[in-house]
Amino acid sequence: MSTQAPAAARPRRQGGILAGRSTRLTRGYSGALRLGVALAVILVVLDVGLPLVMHLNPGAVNLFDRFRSLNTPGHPLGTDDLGRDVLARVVYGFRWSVGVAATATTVLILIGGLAGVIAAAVGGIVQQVVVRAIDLSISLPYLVIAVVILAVLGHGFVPLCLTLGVVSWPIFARVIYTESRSLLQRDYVLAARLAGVRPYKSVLTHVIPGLKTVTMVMTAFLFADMIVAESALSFLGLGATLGSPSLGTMLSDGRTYMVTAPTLTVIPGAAIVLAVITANLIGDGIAHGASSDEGQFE
Amino acid sequence: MSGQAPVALRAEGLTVVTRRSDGREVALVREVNLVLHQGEALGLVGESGSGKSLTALSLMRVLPESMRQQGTIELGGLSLSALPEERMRQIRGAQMSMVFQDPLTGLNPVRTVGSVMREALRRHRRMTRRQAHEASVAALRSVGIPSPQERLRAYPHQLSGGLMQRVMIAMALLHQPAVIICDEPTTALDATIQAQILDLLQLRVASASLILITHDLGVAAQACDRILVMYSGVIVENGRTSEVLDNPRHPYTAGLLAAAPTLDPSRPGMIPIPGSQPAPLSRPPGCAFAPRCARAQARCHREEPDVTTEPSGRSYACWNPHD
Amino acid sequence: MSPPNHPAAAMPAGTRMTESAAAQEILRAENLRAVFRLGSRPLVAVDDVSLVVRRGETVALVGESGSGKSTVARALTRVQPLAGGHVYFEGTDITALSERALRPVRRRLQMVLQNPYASLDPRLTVQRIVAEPLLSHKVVAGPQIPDTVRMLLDEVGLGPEVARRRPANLSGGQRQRVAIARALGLRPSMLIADEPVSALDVSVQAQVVRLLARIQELEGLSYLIIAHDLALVRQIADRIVTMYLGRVIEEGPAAEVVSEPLHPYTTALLSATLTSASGRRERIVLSGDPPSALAIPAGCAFHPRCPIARPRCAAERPPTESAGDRSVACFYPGELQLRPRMGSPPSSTAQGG
Repeated sequence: MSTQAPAAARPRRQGGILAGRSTRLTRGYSGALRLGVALAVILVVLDVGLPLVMHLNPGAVNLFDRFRSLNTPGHPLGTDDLGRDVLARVVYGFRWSVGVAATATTVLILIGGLAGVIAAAVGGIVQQVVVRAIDLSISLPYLVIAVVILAVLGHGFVPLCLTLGVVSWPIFARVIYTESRSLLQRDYVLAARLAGVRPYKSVLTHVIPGLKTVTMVMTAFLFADMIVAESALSFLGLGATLGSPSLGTMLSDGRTYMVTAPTLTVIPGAAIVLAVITANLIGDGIAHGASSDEGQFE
Repeated sequence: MSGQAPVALRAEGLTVVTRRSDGREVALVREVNLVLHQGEALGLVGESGSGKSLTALSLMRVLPESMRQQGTIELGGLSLSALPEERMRQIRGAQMSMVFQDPLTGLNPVRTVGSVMREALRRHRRMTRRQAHEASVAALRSVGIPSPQERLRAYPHQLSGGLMQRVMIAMALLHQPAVIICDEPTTALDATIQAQILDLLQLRVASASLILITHDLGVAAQACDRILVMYSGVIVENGRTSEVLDNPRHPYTAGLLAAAPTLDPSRPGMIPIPGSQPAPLSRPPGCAFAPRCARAQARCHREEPDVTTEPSGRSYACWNPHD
Repeated sequence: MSPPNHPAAAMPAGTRMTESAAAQEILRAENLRAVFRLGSRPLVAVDDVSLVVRRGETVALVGESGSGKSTVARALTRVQPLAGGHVYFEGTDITALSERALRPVRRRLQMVLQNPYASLDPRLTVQRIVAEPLLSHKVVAGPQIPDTVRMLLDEVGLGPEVARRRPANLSGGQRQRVAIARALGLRPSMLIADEPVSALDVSVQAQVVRLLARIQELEGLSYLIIAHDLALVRQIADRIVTMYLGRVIEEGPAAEVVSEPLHPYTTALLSATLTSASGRRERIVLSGDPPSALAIPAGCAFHPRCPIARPRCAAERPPTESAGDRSVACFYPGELQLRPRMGSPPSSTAQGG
């Protein structure tokens, strides 16, 4: 084996794992990922930056300044039925929605991922129980359960995140379970077993790293789902507490004035759509990049 | 089969090029010249990555989109290289057909064997459903498939590998093509089934000309009149089967023969060739085999060898051939 | 892998295992039986298979797809649950050991899988792949791992630069060498290899076979090699065990089985083994497909395809008869023989029943 032909034919990946990662992230990835990341950066910069450069107070009520149109001095996006600044409310509402969605996604990734891997790796009765739980949870409409849980736990950030995470983990758990099962059946896992490697070691070395791509993709998509779910719950009045602005609450409030002041629904609606599209673009981009990478692996 | 028979298929300067994602062009098959006489079985032998399968695909003009081909192809005097795709489609399956290694990949798993065969028949010939059915039964019977009526109602996965490969051969033969190209038709099969299929190919294809692509010199020895040996996209040796196997000129052919296991206790067998075949992008200058070749001289590393043709018609591309 | 001049091969005919002979054995399988369930139907993949591998010896388990040879290999390494029988390794009955109790056994009894494109984790570097068993069994202290890996790679003919690569950047032959290096790291006394070279190109096959032979010479390993190619097996094995539809049908010294097969299936398999010289041999082409393991024929399982089958073969299952160090399960052993073919008359096509 003096001629290392196949290796030479491929772009060299040296300088450790990170160097390999960065080339993989940039090379061959679809425009979707770039667009998604660009959008995400813009949104975050706007959300963090705007309150720094302008005076934004989402809670300031001014009953003399109600229903201002766009481009009103001091209120670039106008004011709502209570004279509150729409821009300020969208900025803080967006922050709230994204914060809830991100926390909820983290919760569900942790619960779902753990449940999925454990069910696949342990097998037996544990597997049966988890799989049944997943099936049961998926068969129930999650908004209904969320409504019930929230009714018990009350409003606010923590109950909302927990509820969303708890009701949506089975979707992720099922994906991880299936993926782990397929990874566990690979020959290299058998090879590790034949070498006397302990099962938990084998899961850590061969299974969990293999779940990275699917987890990244699912995170993006689930995040988008969580944005929508948070807005839906807030829209129903089950999400955000009265004080904190949320895109869903804004939609719900603006609904009454749909005809006279359409911007009150269009602007938070657009913010939701933008956040969802961004997350989906990123998810698509990762999935596409990963599938074009498969050739390298198999 | 002597060289005097009329030519069924001729390819000259056949080259397959692909463009990599970084924009560089790489030749996967280079300047292949190939003559297939009528009634002849020609073996195209090489290891994986030698370009033998791409050569076959380019003869049918069905390369993947990322690749393009150059060179001329003539089928019974008709030039295929410039033919519009529409005309080429009429030729494929009718005048030239192909059998692949894995019969299942080429077939839609949710359609019965019969419906696939009927469609293949009616694509090139005007016939009723009933006529097509009868022709399918006859075709299966001709390749020795018992109870053909029943097989036609089966789905591909319900038939064994050997039986499916018979079906594929029957389909390749449907329109009495002039040329049949078989790409590793027996590689996925067990030895005893491989023997059946090779027998069938020799028996049934006698009317047509056959190109048999294989990595296995034993298969080529069994089934072919003439052998072309490919290495790293180039034909390195070409001659009658007995000539090539008994008295190889090119060191790569000799190396392949020595590397194969043998049943003959008087021969050592399994003498490895050091190293491995270079990838197309890292093909060394000069002869691509030189880095692995015990007979390599300084010249071999510099200049690509010319093709030497002997009076008998056999040829090889080597600066320092075996006598 | 050495020429068959092992002392054990010269054992007197038909004697029972003496104490010293038992000490020579490294692996012994008795009456193995493995059953798969396909829906409600049982599929007997392995039925009453017994075999012995002696120290330093290479035994080849030969058969076509569906013969159960890979299932036997998996059963011997306790990856495939058994429905019956016993496996003894180095004198210990390992049939019922727990996975935990098996760990020391796995150290001594290693396996190399068929497809080096699947048996190496694509995400790991060669360094980590080869080091995995070493770390797991703590046979080498952490700081010594890179040196040990380098030494193991060197042993299988790979340079130290390979350690940093991932499997995708290796050729098939290099991958199988990495798999062998991984197996050798624990210094096993026996290696089971399931079609170790069949996924490789011919020229590379020979490299890997030579490597296995050299390692055996150096370390006195015993091999059980699962294969389908009789020509390959003749070259590497001391003894051949032939399987058909889950049963052992013939067993004996490799050279003898190949030069003078006793079971008609071995003869047919031999005839179907194509080498560049085989165009000059008489050929026996079996008709029909091998029956599925779901519907194993009564009597001798081979009789529907057998060119010399008689009515008795369909009625009774032939017992395994031993003579000398050969054994065969056939009522008419040695009757079907291959003759060298002169010129090139058409091959004789044998018709099965």
